[in-house]
Amino acid sequence: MATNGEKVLMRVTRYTPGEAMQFHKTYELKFYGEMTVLDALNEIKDTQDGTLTYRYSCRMGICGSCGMMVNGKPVLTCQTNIKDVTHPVRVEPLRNFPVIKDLVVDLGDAFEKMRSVMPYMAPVKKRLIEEGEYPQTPAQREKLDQTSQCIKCMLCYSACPVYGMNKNFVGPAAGALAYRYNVDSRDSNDSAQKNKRMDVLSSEKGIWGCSFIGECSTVCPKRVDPAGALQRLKVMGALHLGKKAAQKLIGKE
Amino acid sequence: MSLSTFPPFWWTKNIRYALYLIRELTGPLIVGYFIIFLILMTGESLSIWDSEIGEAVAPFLFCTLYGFTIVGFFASLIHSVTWFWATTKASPIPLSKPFQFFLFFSSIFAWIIFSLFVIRALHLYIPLASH
Repeated sequence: MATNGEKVLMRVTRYTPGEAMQFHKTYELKFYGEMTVLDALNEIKDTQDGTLTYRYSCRMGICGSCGMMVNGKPVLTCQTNIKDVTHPVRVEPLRNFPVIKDLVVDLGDAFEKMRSVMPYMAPVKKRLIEEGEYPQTPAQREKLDQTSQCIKCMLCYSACPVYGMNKNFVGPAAGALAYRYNVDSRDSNDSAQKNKRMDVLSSEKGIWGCSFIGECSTVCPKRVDPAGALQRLKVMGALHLGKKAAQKLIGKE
Repeated sequence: MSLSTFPPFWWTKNIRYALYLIRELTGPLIVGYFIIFLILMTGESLSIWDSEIGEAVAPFLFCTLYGFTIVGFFASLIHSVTWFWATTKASPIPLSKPFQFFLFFSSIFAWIIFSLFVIRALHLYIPLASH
């Protein structure tokens, strides 16, 4: 626990592109007020080491840019107060992703997985502009509310040992996103797109790698509960495969 | 690019990872119990344990079975309880937290009642109210 004016040590993992190994650098700074880990990194960059590289944007837990490992846990650094973590504070890049430089990681694989689940609607019966919007009751909206809160911070991918060991696994955020669109009432249950989405989710690059560890839901800063979404998708996936088998049996593809 | 990966013995870094691994290990422990049980029952039906080698091996196998019975019993308890909790999360109909708890405890209760019925039906002695 830090008090105002107290010296704080930050042990930051650095990486220079082209080098084989990461290295660690320790910085000392004075703790003040409600200093967050992101504030500390900004202070280091401004006053001690301008080469320190990391991502951030909104500084208020909504953009998802500042995700990093702090003392071994994936967190949003703008939401992690220095006085709430043990010292010295270890800051590392997000786990399970290639490191580009210092604390900046390549999230391309995770975003590719999110694109693969077709995160958009294709209503069977399109409405013209003149016909107005696609109506939805509050109860229908509530079904997708929780999973629509995802800010794509990728802390869940960092927390998931399955994704760490098997890059074929679609991952928690992509699973939650797929569930959000699957339960959207504005998309028909029998649409070709929804069937295609279920085909992707049921494939070897789909959801079946999940063994319900649950750590993704624990670290999620927006309480999306991707673990719950993935279990529900498994039920949907099993029903989808059963339906496909039955259709094949009766000769109707 | 350097890859930031999971450390060796990753499951020791976090209590929830450790609990997950314990949960997963309950499966092989239950299977181990059944394998030892089947070996012993098969040996008994074929009178293998009456032979000289059988007499030497049987006590070791029976001790292993007793050990696995105790470990397997607790493993099946953990396995079942965690499975019942997981099923409340997998419902395609969104369930409120209170209802998830209700479903979980109802499943445990129904499981206990059914287990007692099975044990009674197998004519094993358990202290029940006299009839």
